[in-house]
Amino acid sequence: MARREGEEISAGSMADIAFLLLIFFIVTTTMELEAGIPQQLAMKVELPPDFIPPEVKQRDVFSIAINANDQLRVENESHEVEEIGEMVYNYFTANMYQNTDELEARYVAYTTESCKEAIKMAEQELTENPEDLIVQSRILKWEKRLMVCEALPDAGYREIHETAVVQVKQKAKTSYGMYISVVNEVKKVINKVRDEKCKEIFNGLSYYDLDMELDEDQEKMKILRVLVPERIIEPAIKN
Amino acid sequence: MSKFRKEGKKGQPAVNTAALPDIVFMLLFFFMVATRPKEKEPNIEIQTPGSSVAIELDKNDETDYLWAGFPADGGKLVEVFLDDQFKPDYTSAIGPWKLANKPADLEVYEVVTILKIDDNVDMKTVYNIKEALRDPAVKGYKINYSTKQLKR
Repeated sequence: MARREGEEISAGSMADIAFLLLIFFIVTTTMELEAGIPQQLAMKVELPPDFIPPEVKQRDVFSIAINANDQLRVENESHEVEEIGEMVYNYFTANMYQNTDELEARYVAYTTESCKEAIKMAEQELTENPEDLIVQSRILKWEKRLMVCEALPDAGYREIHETAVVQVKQKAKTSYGMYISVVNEVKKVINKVRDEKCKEIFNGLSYYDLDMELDEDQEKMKILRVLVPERIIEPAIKN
Repeated sequence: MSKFRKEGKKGQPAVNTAALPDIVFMLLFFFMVATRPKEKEPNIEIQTPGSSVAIELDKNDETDYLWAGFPADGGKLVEVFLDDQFKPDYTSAIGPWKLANKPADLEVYEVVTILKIDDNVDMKTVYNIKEALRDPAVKGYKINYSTKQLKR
C-alpha cells in the first residue's frame, strides 16, 4: 500500500472552469450603474377634523404649474424650463441674510434658546396626548434645528419659513419627461444653494465633494439639509 | 541569407499556460465585483428622461423595479409592469406586489422602488402609482425616478 509521493492534481481544467464563471458574469452584467432621482413619498395621514392648517402666505410659495401641453406657468407668468433655475434661486436666497425682499420667501432666525424652549413647550403638549403624531413630528423638527444651532459657531441660524414650499402642479396629461425636467431644475438650484452654504460654513468645502461614506460628512449633510430644506409639494391631480 | 529555418526537429516550444488560470481569475473577480445583475426587462419602449441631479444607486440597496411605457408594437396605451409582469390593474396590484417582494429582515419602506418610466407617459399614471405606494398599508415610501445622467 505505498502511496506515490508528489503526484499533482492536474490544474489544466482550472482555466476552463474559471472561463465558464467569467462568461456567466459578463453576460449578466450591466456595467452602467443605475442612477436616478430619489424621492421620499409622504405618508398618507388622516388629519383630525379639528386640525387647523398653518397659514400660508403667497410670498412663501413658489408655484410652478405644468399644463396638459407641457407649458409652464411660473409664479403666474409663462416661462421656459431653462428660466426656472434663476427664479428659484432668487426665491431661496433673496432674504437669506436679511428680510429685505417683500416678495420672496421669508426667513426666520433660530437660536439654541428658542429651539430648547419650543421643544419644552411641545413636550408639555405631548404629555396630554402622547399619541399625537403632529406634535411628535414637530418635536423632531425642533430637535433637528437645535442640532444645527449647536453645531454652528453663532449658536443660531436663519432658515426659510417652514411653510415655504416649491409647488409643482400638474395636469393628468402632463408628460413625465416635462415633470422630471422641472424637478431637475429645482433640485439643481437646491444643490447650488447647499453648495454655497457648505462653502460658507465648512471653510470652502464643496457640497458636491461630500462623501456619504464618511460619518463626519454625513453630519454635515444633515446640517445642510436643515439649513436648505428641500420641500417640493405636488398637489393631487384633479383632471 | 535564408531567414527561413527549415522544418527542424525542434519546432516551436509550447507556451507555458500555467499562468492562464490566474489571468482568467483576475478577470473573473473584476466582473464579480463590478457586476449588478441585469433586471428582467419587459417588452416595452422605455426612454427614461435625462437629469443632472441623479444620484447613483447604492449597490447594496434592496430594489424593486416598476416599468411604465408604451408597447413596442406602437400601441398608444401605457402599460405598467411590476418586475416583468404586465399588470393592467396596476393600482391594486402594487400593494400586494411590494408586500410579497419584501425580504424578511427589512421593512417595505426600506426597499427602493425604482420607477423606469418613459418620457411620454402621462402624469396621471405616475400619480396613481405613487398613490398606491404611499398607502399606509403598503409603506412603499422610498422611490427613485430612474433617469439618464446629464452633465451638471
